[in-house]
Amino acid sequence: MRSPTPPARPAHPRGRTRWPRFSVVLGSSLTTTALLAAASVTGAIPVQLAAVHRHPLKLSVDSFSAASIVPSTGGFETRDGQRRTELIFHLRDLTVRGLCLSNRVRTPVGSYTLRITSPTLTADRLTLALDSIDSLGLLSQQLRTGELINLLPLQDPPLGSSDDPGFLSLRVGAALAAVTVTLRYLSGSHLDVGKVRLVSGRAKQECF
Amino acid sequence: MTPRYDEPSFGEPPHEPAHEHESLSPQMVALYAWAGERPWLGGTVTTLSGLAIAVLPNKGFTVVVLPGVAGLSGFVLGGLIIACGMFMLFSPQLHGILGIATVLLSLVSFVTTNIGGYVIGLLLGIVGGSLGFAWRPPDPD
Repeated sequence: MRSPTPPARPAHPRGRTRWPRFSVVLGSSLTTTALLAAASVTGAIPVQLAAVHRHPLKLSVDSFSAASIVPSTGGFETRDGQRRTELIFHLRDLTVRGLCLSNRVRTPVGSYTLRITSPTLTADRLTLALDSIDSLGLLSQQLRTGELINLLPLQDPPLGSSDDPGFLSLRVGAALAAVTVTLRYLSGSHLDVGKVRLVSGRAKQECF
Repeated sequence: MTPRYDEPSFGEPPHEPAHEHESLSPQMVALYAWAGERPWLGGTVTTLSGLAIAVLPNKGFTVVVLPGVAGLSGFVLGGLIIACGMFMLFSPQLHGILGIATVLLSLVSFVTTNIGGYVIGLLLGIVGGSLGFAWRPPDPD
């Protein structure tokens, strides 16, 4: 008489996931993320941001101040292998009031506007690199435009308006300064942005 | 006498692979066995998270000059999270500490690296780290 067949044994022992433990860790992490997001939006904690693309941005501020503005030069290589020079500004202890930043994106279903406003923005350090400065108006007393112009090592500054991709239009305060630049990247540390308001849509107005 | 669990009996194969894997190639069977001994899902998701944190903020970046602190921290944190994912795959006995480290690094990336690689890397890191932490090794028997 044959003995009963032994129970099936898996060919390879496999690990398992303990889902209750997974849920506990995931839930607490997501809660912490939500708290961090809320704290950063309200300005309670600073964040660091960096952007490398060329963006068609319009930027206006009511007032602007920085403890120091140190220009330097750098180099980069474009996708097609062309080496270009860029002008880099290192700003310390930056304070911006009445910030408005907008971006209009053209899509197959129409143009959409994204506008971000914040009454106050401070940063310990802010670095921005300009591919070129296309037009420069009167800024404010804090920003010494003469030195910036003299240090421009730029080649073949492109012509265009702020609606073209890759141009940043800047207007500061009542002096109505206007700067159109090609911004290559922006990087900031200890950014403290208070009471951010974000609106987007097809019928939204840009900053100016 | 009841036969022992691991003894072959009556000419039957010892580990009942009669229907399991019979349609798979030997390489796939080996891969299946390899993956079963480690938190492969957590390790894979964690590695993808590190890639997202390191690459997404620097998309299209043709490097000569690094873009400051925030850009650099993306490479550092992304690299650390990728390392955690690799260790999960190749040193599965460390899955607990690696899972918690991944979650913590992902949370740190929120404030230091473009909101955790535009949130994508952050969420992948949290899920991957949680999967790695909650993984249980196969029973020795």
